[in-house]
Amino acid sequence: MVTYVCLGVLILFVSLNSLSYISNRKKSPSFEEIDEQLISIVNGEAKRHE
Amino acid sequence: MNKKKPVTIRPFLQTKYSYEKLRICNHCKSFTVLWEDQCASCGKDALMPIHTKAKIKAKRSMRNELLAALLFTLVGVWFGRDPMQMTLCAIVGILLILLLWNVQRRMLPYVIPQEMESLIEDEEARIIEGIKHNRQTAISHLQNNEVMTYEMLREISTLVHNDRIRLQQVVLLQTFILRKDMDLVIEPLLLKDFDTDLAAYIGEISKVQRDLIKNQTIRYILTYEAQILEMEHGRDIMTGVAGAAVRMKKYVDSYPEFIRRYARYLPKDRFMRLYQLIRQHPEQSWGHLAEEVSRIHSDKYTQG
Repeated sequence: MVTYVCLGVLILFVSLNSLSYISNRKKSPSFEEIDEQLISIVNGEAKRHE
Repeated sequence: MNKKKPVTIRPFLQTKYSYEKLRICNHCKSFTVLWEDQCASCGKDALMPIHTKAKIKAKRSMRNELLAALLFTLVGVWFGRDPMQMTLCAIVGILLILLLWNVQRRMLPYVIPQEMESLIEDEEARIIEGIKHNRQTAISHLQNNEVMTYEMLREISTLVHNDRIRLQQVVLLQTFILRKDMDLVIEPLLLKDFDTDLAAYIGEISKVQRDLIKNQTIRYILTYEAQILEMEHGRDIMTGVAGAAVRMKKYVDSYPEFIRRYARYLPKDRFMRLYQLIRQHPEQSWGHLAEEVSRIHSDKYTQG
């Protein structure tokens, strides 16, 4: 019984993780977006101080 | 009068993205954009690019998921009632682990940017603090090593985009003797407003590295032409830029009136370059430039 529960949990775990990876793939930012985000954080703070 | 110093500036390592300059200490989590080997905060040799840090984090999280899947499989096998059930559980478990591993491997290039994004969001305060510390370090070298200060400010300015840091660099560059072999820039240093040091710097660049004179720089000196002409060597600056602009036809096409105004003052080699360019394209409409160039040519270069 425990074996089947473990297998069930494992199937669920792998399925959910795989689906989560695949669905998050579209949300992945491009390197250009990361660059813009970093620059806006750094310069936004600098402007507040000026 | 001339207080400029001969210096050697180390080449600037240009990166595709600005974030590639940012490194995090794996020990104390402080950030830096400078090139030091050891962390300035904790002294440990643990600095790494944020991309590497994000990759390590993503791989660690994936490894933990695989270990969790392995644990479920082992527990299932351990509690199997007979060898048949144990074998079945082991085979299904291994297949599922392989499936998860394959998905993770394919998704890693998408997970790393997500990790980088969350790293930047979570560590915003530390990033700003690190850059502030970098600027203080740069300024602390100003008295004894101006070149070092310039090089540090140049690195910091890959992320910090404001006129203050641009002006600091321009002022420092104006204390150096500029040479052809130096790794110099103009466009990243262009200010919103007029500045005499920047105008003088552009004038020098137009002599030593005329390839750096491009549209943005020409537009800058045209915007502040009146102020530049009020400077002691203002006309030389304008002439220098016009001389640099004639190296490419597209600039002559775009700014014929500007080049016409300074054509008379161009050195012979630059003027002849302009003259040849206009002669090679008689079909082109240059406004009054062609007439002016022809007049200057007959006045200055056809006699004797």
